[in-house]
Parts: sequence; C-alpha cells; structure tokens
Amino acid sequence: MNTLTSINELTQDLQPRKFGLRGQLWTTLLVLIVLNGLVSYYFQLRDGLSVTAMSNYVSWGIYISNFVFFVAISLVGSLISAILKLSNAKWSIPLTRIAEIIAVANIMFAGLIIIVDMGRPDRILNLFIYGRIQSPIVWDVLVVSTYLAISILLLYIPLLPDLALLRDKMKDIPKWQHQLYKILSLGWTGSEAQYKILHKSVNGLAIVIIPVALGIHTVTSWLFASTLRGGWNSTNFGPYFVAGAFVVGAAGVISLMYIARRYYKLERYLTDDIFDKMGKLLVMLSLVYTYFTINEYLTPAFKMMEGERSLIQDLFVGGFAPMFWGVQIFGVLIPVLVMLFKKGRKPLPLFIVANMVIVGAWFKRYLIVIPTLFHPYLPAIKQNGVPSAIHYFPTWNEWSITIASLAGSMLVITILFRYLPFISMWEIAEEQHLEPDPINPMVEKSKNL
Amino acid sequence: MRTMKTFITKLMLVAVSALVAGNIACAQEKIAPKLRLSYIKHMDGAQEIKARAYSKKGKEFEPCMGVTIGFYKDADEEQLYKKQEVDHMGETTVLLSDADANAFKDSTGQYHFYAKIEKNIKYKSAEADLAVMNATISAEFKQENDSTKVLKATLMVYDAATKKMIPGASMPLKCGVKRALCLLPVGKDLNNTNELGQIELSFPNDIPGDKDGNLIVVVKLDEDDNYGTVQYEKSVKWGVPLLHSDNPLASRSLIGSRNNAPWFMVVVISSILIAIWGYLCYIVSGLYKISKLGHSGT
Repeated sequence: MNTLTSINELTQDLQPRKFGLRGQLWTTLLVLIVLNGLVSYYFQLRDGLSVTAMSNYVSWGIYISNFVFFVAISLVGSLISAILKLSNAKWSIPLTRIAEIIAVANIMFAGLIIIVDMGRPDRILNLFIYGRIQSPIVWDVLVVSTYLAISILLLYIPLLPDLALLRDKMKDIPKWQHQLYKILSLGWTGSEAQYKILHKSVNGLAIVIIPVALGIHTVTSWLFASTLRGGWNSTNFGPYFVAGAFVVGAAGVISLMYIARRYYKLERYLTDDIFDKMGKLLVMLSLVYTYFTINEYLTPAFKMMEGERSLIQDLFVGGFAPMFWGVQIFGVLIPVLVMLFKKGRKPLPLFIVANMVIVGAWFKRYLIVIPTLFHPYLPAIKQNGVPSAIHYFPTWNEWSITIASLAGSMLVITILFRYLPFISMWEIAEEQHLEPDPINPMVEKSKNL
Repeated sequence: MRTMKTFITKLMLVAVSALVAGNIACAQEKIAPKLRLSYIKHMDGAQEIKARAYSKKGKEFEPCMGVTIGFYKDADEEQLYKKQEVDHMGETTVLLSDADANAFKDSTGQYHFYAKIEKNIKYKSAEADLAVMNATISAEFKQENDSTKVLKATLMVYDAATKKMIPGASMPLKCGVKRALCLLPVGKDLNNTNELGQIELSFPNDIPGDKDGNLIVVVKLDEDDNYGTVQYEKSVKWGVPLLHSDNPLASRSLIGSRNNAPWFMVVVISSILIAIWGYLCYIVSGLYKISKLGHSGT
C-alpha cells in the first residue's frame, strides 16, 4: 500500500460517494429484477407451490440449491474477518468489511429464500412453536439466525469509529444521512475506554464466529446427509460443504474488491499484492475442495452400489454430465490453472476466474440438490427407473424469484457500499500509523492500545 | 445532472411497468381446464357430488386451483343449486340430503347432475354432467362356532323398467378394511355378486384393529357407470386388539415427538444456544456502554 500522509487523505479516498450514472443504472437494474421477483412471489403466494416445477419426486428445487449457495458464500465473513484476522494476516485488513458485507447480505437472503420455499410463509412461526429439536431443519434455523446476528455485529462494531468520522467530516450530505451516521455511531468519541470495548468485542466475535460458521454449513450439509438418499448419504458432506463454501466466498470477495478498486479507483488500498495473495488463497482452497470432491465421487463410483449407480451414471455420462463436467472444468480446473501463474493472479484475470468460480459454485449446488431427487431408493424406481413423466426444470416463477433473490443480495451490498465505507478507515490508519487528526483524535488513541 | 436523474426515473418507471405487465401477461395466459364429476352414496345417509377440475400440462395433470364450480339442476344451467370454490387439489364436494337429491331426479328415477367451471382470470370455462340411478348395499356379519367369520353383502339396484329395487347381479363389489391411506382388501380385488346380488366372504382372523379390536369394514360398488359409487361401512369387533406398549414415539428418542427429545440433545443444544446468545447479549451490552461513554463525554 502506498504511504498515506494524513487521516484527511484517507477519509477523502474511502468515504462513501454518490453513485455516478453507471452506479445508478446498476441500482435501477437490481431494483427492477427484485420487483419482478416480488410479482412472481405474489403469484406463488396466490396459487401455492404449484407454480413451481417441484413435485412429489423433486420436492427441493432451485430455491434450496440457491439457499445452499447463499449460505456458502456468506461463510467468507468468517474466513476473512476471523481466520485471517486471528492469524495476524495484516494484508487482509482492507478486505474485512467487504467480506462482512457479503456475509450479511447473503445470509439474510439465505433466510428469505427458505421462507419462499416454504410455500406457506404464514406458518413460519410453527417451526419455533412446534419444531422438534431432533430435526436438522430446526438446527439450521437456529444456526442461520445465530450466524446472521454475529455477522451483523461483526460488521457493525468495527464500523463505529468510521461512522463517527463520517458524522464529523461529511458535511455536504443530506440531513437524514448525517442523522443516520449520528445515531449509528452511538456517540463515538474515540476514547480509550471505547476502543478497549471495541477491540475486546471484535476479537471475541472473531473467535465465536468460527465454530458457528463451520456449524452453519455443516448443519446445512446435514439437511441432506441425514437423509437416506444416493449422493447425500455421505459422511464427507460437512467438510465438503465447508471447503466449497470457502472457495465461493473467497471468489466473491475477489470479485467485489475488483469492482470496488476499479469503480472507486482504490488501487493503493486494494493493491496487486492483495489480489495476488487472494489468488494464492483461492488456489489453496480450491485444491482442498478438489480433494473432497474426489473423495465424494471416487469411492461410490468405484463401488457402484445399487442406488448410487444410477445417480453416478447420470452425473458422469447421463443427462447431468454436461453440467457436472462443466462445473469441474470451468468452475475449478481452469481457474486453478490460471491462478497458478503470477500473471493469472493480476486483478483482471483473477476477477474473471473468480466469477467463473462463483457461477460454477451456483451450478454445483444445483447438482447437489436436484439429480439425487431423481434417484430415490424406491422399489418401483429400482425396477422401472424414473417415470418418464418425472422431470424438473424450474418454471419462470422459480427463475424470477431466484434471480431476484440474487439481485436482492447484490442490492443490499450496493446500498451498503453507497452509504458505508467498505474499507475500514480506522484500521488502515492504525496500521499505517497516520498522523492524528486534529478534529477527530480517534487514531491517536487507538494507537495507544 | 437533474436531467439525468429525470431520465433515470422515467426509464425506471417504464421498465417497471413493462416488467410487471409482462409478468402478469405471462401469468394470465388462459388454460383450458377439464371437469370430472363423480357421485358417492354412503349407506349411512350422506350423498355427495364430487367435482375435480384439472388441466393437462405436458404429460401431467395439474389441479386447477382457485376456480369456482357451479352445480346445476338442468342442462341449460338455469337452476343453480350451489357454487363452491375448489381446494388445493382442484376438488370440491357438495353434500346432498335425500330431499336435495330428489330435486335432481327425473321421471325415470335417474339423477342428473350438471356442473360448470366458472371462467376466471387464469382458466377458461368447462362443463360436465353425470347421470346415475339409485343403488343400496347392506351387509351381515356372521361368526360361526368354530370362530370362522363370514361377511355377506347384498347389492340392490333401481330398475327403471319396473321402477323397483332389484338384486344387482354380476356386479363387482370391493370389500376391505379401512386403513390410513386406502382399503386393505378382503377376498379378491373385485367380488362379483350372484343372481341375488350377494357376495359371501370368509373374513381373516388376523387383521390388527384398534386397542379394542375394532375394524371398519367397507363394502363398495366403485365408480359404476350407472350407479356411481355406493359405500357401506360398519365398525365390527373382528380385529386383533393392538397394544401400544412398544410404541417408540412414547419414549425419548430421535424419532420421538417434540416433547420426547433425547435428554443429551436437549442439554447439548440448549447449552450451546445459551452460551452463544449469552455472549452476544454481553456484546450488545458493550455497545450500550460505548454509547453511554460517548454521551457522557468520557
């Protein structure tokens, strides 16, 4: 990172800025997609889940695969904010808030898409009133809400000094925005006592979020693994899901940091070196994930047990083969090969392969959920195969709601980027040992801690 | 800048309208439904007309939800009897008393039912009609001294020529015991009646009943073209009493009810939740302290 000379310079660079034309058009597009999804959701509420392509065979569709995707990508909050922070990887400081924003936006929509999949959202409270603690679905509800709470706190608490800075420094903003910063900054003055509480809270949360984050994706995997079905009946599923989640989460951060760097001209904060390190991290995570993928498919494919056989054949050489091999080649193999080279870890190539990883990861979740449902352990199916009438391709309702949920999470990220500093100003100042600001002495005090 | 904002606002409005209109138009493409009527007579007195509205989507049939079905006494649909909305399965049932049923009867003693799907925003209109005659089933339950159990059922049908009830000869009757999802068959799948309209079956001794050994025995003429469905039901103490002493749902287990979760699970999950949420409350109290410190100027 090029040397900064003062807190004022830092604030100038990192304070929220009004969107230009491109930003406004992007936001407009997202709002439109979300509205379209809401209209589709109205039809679903009116007519029930019959507007989807789900049936008694394929009872989970893209809503659930999308849910798994959201949970996966949200795991990056714990990777960057907790694991890298606790391992003292200072280079990851500019990424912390981006990662937390991704985590909060995606875990929110993970919860929402589950409600969409319920068909009868008015019965959501029944889960709490009548839910059985023995059910992995109840564990999932508990762990998703806990992870959401921790992610919000982990995003909000380190924001306090920056919010105070915005409150004091940003004068030419609407009154409501100023008032918002004033309320949210909780009267932050940058006193030693306040910093002490802040550091203690953030460190504590960084520790607590690790088991909860592992828990959220492990429990999500158990929703499948605790069901006796080919492709899900696996002891490997927990770690496999966690490994996959870290991959897509890291790719999400790379993608977003490239856009932030390019759009806000933040080359001196989101440096080539950070991209290089994130590229290396993504290679490492992808290789771990590949190891689990091989474990997941090689042993059942070697044995070809009845029940698993038809699923494996369907994935390897059957109807799902193009998607399966497409995910492995374009979502894992090519990105890893590109990132092995230093030039491949430059911002633009890394951005491109990160997006390939994200798209591949979405389709991978589709492959986890849908094909298995075509191969139940039913005697009739064993004898006669899946009835020809049984098929699943999402309806326009499902597509528009699913795409709206993805757009919704991007809209939340966009709004947070518009009104919050997405790189932690006080932490950069602390790390760069900047001169104290005469108006806002917070940096000086934080240095003394 | 202002011009640009106006342009974006207009663009947004146009796009929203186009998207929403497109979405609604897409959803409003009218579907041609089909309507099927069936008549069910329960020998305890209840009679029903069941209507099922469905449409064909590819190779599958889908229920038409949200449609209203009108039941009429005449083919011209001038004498409306009742209008009812279908349920999520696309079905609705009209219950008829004997007096009501007579209103549908013609001079030959045949019952005529007419129904119509009222067109709505999603579906086109469709019609169906059904004609049936009266039929009855009675049954006797005999237990011999050697504990052989015999079920004897008699089917009588209305004869339009003589205008009398006569034995329904050579007609298939289903006989079985009512279970949660369907009938557990007794005898053959279909038992043809003799010239007296009767069937006689020896009843098994080993069918599990309720805790007192009660079975609900059903004899049924199923979806006959001339008489519809006629169903006779009676509770008989011919089953083996079922004791629930080994019911796994009654003990603490993974498959137990909500109140019977295993203790270790209750303790472990509650402890984890209390620990984590307790800590989060502590963190939130830290925020309160930060706020207090800030406002006190410390």
